Amino acid sequence: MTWETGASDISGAPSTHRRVPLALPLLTTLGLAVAAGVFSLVGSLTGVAATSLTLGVVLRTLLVALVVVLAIHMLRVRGGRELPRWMPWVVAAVAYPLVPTTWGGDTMFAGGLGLDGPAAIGVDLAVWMCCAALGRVPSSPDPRVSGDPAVDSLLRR
Amino acid sequence: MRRAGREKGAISLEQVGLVILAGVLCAAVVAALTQSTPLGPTLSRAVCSITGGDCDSPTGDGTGSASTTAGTCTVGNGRTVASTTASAVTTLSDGRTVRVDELSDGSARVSPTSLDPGSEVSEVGLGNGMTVRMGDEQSGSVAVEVPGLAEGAGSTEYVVTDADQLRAVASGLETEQVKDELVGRDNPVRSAADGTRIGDQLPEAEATYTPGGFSVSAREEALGEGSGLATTALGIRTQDNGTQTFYIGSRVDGAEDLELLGVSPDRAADASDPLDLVTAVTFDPQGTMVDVTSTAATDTADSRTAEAIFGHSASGGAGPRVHSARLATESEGQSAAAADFLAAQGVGSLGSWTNPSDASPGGPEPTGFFDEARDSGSLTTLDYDAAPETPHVDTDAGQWMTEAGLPVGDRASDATLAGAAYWDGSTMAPWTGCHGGSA
Repeated sequence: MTWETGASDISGAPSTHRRVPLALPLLTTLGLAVAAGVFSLVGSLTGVAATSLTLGVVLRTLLVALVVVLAIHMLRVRGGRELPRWMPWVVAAVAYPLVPTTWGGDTMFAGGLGLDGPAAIGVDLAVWMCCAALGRVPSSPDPRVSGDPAVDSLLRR
Repeated sequence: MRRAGREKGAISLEQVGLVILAGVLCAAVVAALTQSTPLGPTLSRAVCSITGGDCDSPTGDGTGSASTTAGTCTVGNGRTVASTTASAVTTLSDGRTVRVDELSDGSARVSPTSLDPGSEVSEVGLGNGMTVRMGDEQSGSVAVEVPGLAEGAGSTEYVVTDADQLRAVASGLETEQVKDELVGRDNPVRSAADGTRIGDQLPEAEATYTPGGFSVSAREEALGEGSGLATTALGIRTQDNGTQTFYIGSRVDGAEDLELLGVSPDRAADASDPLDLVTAVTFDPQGTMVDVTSTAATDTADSRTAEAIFGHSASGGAGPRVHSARLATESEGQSAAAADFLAAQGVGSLGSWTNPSDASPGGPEPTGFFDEARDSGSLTTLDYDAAPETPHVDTDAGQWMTEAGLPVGDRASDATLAGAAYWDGSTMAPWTGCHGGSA
């Protein structure tokens, strides 16, 4: 499965449409949705077992945040240069509504703050996307630095 | 070569992340499986101290308060049944309050309540799921209520026979509350969470309360909007043995309303003060009506409307009075009286039961439910001293609460039964079996 993209090639070769593999983003989306749902439930149930709302909310928020950061980070690393820079955002945004706990606003911490419905879903989404942004941060300095601002801007594109 | 070196670092980070994730997951699983150990609360308090929340210890630290109420008697067909002898209200660790009603058969009924343990308000159990609330500063009067249906929400009632069972119910209620807040109530995630059976499980409920659930508009449909009593479908109590009780609230206001209820015009003539009736209609598991009880409470013994409906009782003082008329529907006459009484309140059907009474204008003269109750059922009045503040009474329920680690206040709002009377066939006679404490 591939995706046509018009991204420019920094090699200077003639501009051509290149194919981006969709299998990895799709798998990451599904995996993220399933894992986030499971970890959110595990965090909540731990709070239930301890009869502690605070513990449940904090634990599930940490677990889900960790899952999101890791999933997006792995997507970015495994996707390499072939992966469009916007793809992690799309993966995170699509995975969020696929998590069953999202439907009730109980994925992260907003529901535990007393927020209901759309408000809880919205606040959790904002935190979710922040975690996705964290996952996009490179784990090591990008070696593709030439020192020339004009070239570097092309590299970062 | 350069690419490989770059990814090598990235993979290490993934591995570190996975190790952390696995560690946290293991901790979570351990915490879930060792719920009886102090790990959960310890973790909770640790997290709480980090987040700056309220880090008080959970249940058992004795920081809450409670109120107690002395009890009453309940009669059914001339016999005394399990009745409330004392009540106490306690606060769970999640902030909710529950009533513990000590019953005359040695057990205790545990049910959620909206009563604030620190308030001057007293609630006294009347049996059949009903209570009378006294000393409410907001309403300034007494009222008959169905606590299980308070504030339009459903609830559940449990019966316990010792402190261990009380502790199990309290823990189960707290767990359910946490579960409600963490995963919601009616959704697939909640079903999955319930399926794991993690956390303290509630024992089998004695009864569940469901608000509404039936219509009370038949009279208005027959007579036109605005006619008849102002009636509300309060809700349904379903017991574990299949018995169902429907609660109907009606406001009786004026002679016309009284005559609708079958009160004779001469008795209804001088009654102008409004009175709120709560009627409980009980059906057996087969759907056959077995019992109708109508109850009202007044600020004092001096209410003309109550006197017109329930008859006069000379006993009692200046405190609140609870009137009750009860009729077992065993004969055709009793069933007809109950059906007419319900039709007057606009009840066309209750569950599978359809009201056979003709509620149309010009229909047959209604059979007087209260007259029938007086003749073949029971008619009682209970008088209370108005909510004095007294020390916590040392009841079994209070001791169980202490043993179960539930907070029990040392001072409480208390209501004392000052007098009781019943219709003995010719007059309202002193009910010594109740007031004398031998119920």
